[in-house]
Amino acid sequence: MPALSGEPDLESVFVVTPAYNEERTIRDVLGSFRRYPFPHHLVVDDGSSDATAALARQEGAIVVRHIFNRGLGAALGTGLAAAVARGAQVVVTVDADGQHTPEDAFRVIAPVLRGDADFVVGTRLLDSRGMPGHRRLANTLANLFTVVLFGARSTDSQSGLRAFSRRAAESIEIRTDGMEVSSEIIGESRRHGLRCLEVPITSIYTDYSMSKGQSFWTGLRTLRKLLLLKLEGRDR
Amino acid sequence: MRSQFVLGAIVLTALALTAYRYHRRQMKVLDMLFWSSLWMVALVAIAFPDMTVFVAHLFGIGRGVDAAIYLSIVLVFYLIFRLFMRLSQLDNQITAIVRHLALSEREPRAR
Repeated sequence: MPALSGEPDLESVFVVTPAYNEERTIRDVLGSFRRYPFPHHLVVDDGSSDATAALARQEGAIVVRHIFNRGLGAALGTGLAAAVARGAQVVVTVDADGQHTPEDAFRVIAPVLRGDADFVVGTRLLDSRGMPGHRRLANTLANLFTVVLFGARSTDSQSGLRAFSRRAAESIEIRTDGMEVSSEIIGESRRHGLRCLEVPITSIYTDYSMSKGQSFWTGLRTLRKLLLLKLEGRDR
Repeated sequence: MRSQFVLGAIVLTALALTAYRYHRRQMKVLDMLFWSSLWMVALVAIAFPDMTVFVAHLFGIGRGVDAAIYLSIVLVFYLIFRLFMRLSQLDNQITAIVRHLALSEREPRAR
């Protein structure tokens, strides 16, 4: 597929979207990315019980399916591995709830395409307009714990929009299954000495995406798992 | 000393179950040794409570019952910890299997 004039070739770029019961939004997300145009979209259906996988196939996405739900971290790990196996040179992870735009995805992969970075996080807080107040507080706490546990500074450790160079996608080892993966990936990229970057993005907060994100309680669970991960990591 | 009989019966049942499970090859040797020695220590403590007092005094604890309770709590926490670690290991292994199936694209159609 031809790239837009003056823009780098997106043929080597794989968009990876972990999805669990996202039939309401998956088509719109896939449609907007295909029109951008991102030629390869890989959906990791994390054991959905709805039509997510079928709709994604209809929209022309490559669908990789978990036979049962294993959580965000597991789905991301599978997505990275599947994209690498299909020859991806750059991988960009995008949430299935429609909070990330193709334009933002492009902003995030641009430094990787230029060869300036191995791992880029699209951060919502560099430009925090549009983020509800309690979300901002929760994010601040998450960032704090990411620093304490993984020694990695981040202004938005929980962002789902990330770009990986092939090298990063191959070397980052995801061991957690759930939401705590966001912090783990940042810790991993630091451990492997990858060149990391943060790029501001604008998140679209809808009622729907709010209901799918981390609530206060899942936030606490995430924190507990991060602590465990940190402890376990010592002997590996 | 009715409580001694009740406790003794419970521990004897556990001991018998351990032996039975080992006999049926549902338990590894090390596990069998661990559990049967645990039950036997408990049995001795129940049969001769004075011995727990002796152990308690060794550790500077006043009463034998207290020593038994402290010891049990430590043991319970240790076992919970081991279970926890084992569970998270199982979690990782399940994810590895699910991922392998997903990547080899031979996932069954039915959930």
